[in-house]
Amino acid sequence: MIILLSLMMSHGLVCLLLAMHKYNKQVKSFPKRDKSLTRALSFSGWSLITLTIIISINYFGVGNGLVWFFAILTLCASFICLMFSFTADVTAGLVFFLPVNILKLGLNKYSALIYLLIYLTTCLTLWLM
Amino acid sequence: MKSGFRQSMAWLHTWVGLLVSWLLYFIFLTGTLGYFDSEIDQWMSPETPVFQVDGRQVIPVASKFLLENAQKSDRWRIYLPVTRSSSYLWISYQKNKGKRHSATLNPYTGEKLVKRSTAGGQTLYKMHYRLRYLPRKIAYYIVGICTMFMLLALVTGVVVHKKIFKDFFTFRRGKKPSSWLDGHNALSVMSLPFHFMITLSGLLMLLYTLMPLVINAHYGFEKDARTQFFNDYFPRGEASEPTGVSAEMLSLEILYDKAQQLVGKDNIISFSITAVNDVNAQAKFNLIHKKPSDSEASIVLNAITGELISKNLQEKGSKSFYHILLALHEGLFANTSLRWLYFLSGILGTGMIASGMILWTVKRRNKAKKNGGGNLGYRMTEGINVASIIGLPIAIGAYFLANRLLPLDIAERAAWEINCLFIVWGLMTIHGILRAIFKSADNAWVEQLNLAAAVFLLIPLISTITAPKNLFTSLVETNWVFISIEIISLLVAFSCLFLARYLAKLFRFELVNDLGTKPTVVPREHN
Repeated sequence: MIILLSLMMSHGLVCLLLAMHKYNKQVKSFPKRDKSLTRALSFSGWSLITLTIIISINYFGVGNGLVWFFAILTLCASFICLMFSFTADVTAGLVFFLPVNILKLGLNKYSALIYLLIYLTTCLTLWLM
Repeated sequence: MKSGFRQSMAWLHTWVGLLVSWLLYFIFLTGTLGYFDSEIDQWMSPETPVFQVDGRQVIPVASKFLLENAQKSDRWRIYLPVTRSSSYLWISYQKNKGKRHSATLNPYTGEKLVKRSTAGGQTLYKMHYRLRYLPRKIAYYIVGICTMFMLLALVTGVVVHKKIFKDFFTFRRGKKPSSWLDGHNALSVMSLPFHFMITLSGLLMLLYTLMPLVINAHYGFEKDARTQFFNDYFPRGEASEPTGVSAEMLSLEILYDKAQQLVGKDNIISFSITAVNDVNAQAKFNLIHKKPSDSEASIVLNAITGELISKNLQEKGSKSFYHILLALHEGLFANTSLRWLYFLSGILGTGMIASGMILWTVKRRNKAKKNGGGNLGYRMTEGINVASIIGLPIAIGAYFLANRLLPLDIAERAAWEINCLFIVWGLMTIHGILRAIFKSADNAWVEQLNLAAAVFLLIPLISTITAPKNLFTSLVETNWVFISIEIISLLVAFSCLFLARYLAKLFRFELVNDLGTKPTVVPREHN
């Protein structure tokens, strides 16, 4: 569960990071002036982070869940900040690799939502099990 | 003070931060290490084996020991080796409120374990609020004032940081003052919830010292007013006194089983029996912290009949809030992985303070260079920065080395371990300040980093030579406590070495650059 939460948080944070012009201009492959993509990334990022809080609280309880949420936020944010300052393109690849290179969807608003879909499906499956 | 609101806040943030930063750095670093106090305790007592057993298995051993040694005592206390903080069976007994005797036992055999006298991780952890060599009250006041300043620095920091969300991931490498500012911001913002929680809860824990008038308003100014308040507000719940009428108690096994039926399996960490073998005998079982609200959870049984007397599984109202903050501050409920994340947040906090200290000097460095090295205040700040940021870790390394090198039979050995820490830190402070005043703090950074590398490299080496457990035997036995501490020592050593080489190169480059572009300014190194 901790690994799942960390992955969700990391992807959520990278989505949020790429939704900001200040950062996405440092990524070579990022299309310029694509508002629908940045909006989708922002939506995907905030949704994944919200989902992380909900799952943490649901799984660990309110007290432990909030502590875990903030602890994972600290860990993932520090890691992504450090990684982005060294290799912006590789950090963006954390979100873009699957839709662009594997699923061949290209960089558009649908590829930005792919992780949200994956994690929602995973969480629903785990919940139903 | 500056005119605009944000500028005033920036001014306040800078000076409030700098004034107490050295002590805050000490508090944060020792407090962060405190998250692994029990593990450090284990490392510092290498001859004693560590146990993790089922609490129920230990009860017959404890029972046998108490019947043989403490039959006439009226208070028994038993700590079970079921969590990271209690690795042995620990028993204490006392007669008529007299001297308390205690024994550390092998939970399987009941054999007494002899530990070396060491200050351990507990003392290191306690230093973050008790400091050292100072009366308790004065230490609390100093730490309390520093915590208030820290809270002020946090609030002003958030006010000053205009684009807190936009700059969340900003870290511009290689642009000197900006890099330090970005680093300081990143370290602060990444674990901001932790910083607020730790500061606010730390302040609340010192509430009774910092705001004594609240107690005095209700309990008066008499000498025992405070004691009376604590007795009323935090009753110990083990006040059953012997009546003198003897009665046969249920066996410890039966009492433990009854308690387990009420609170569930594997939930009891310790228990105490008061008024032993008396009609008034009571058994109080304390529960393991599993979530923040579990603090002080306990049940009390009648030790003669086994009936439940009271059940206190969750505090209510303000007391519950106090205990939740206490548990959050100390991470009492945290398992190993969460404890590591607490540790990471603590390290980020320590880094935040250190980067703030360095940022102050970096911003003034160019001006100071033009003035032949800066005024005395600047140089002193640089010197104390070196002594704190690098000198304190060296001193902590020396503390670990002292544990392995001091003779086992020396009088007050534990106190001498701590003395070693402060002697080394004192020397590092003198070195840092003298270097900064008479030559350049740049040299002090490189020299102390090299020394830190040497000290942390020596820890696993000396441990291998002097202790029965070392990195290699620990790897074979998969003793993760020893492996982690010694590997972290090596990592710290290599990081310091890398940093020393990097800084030496950087300072040499700066020197050449300065000589090339501004030949009129004679660098201090050549004075």
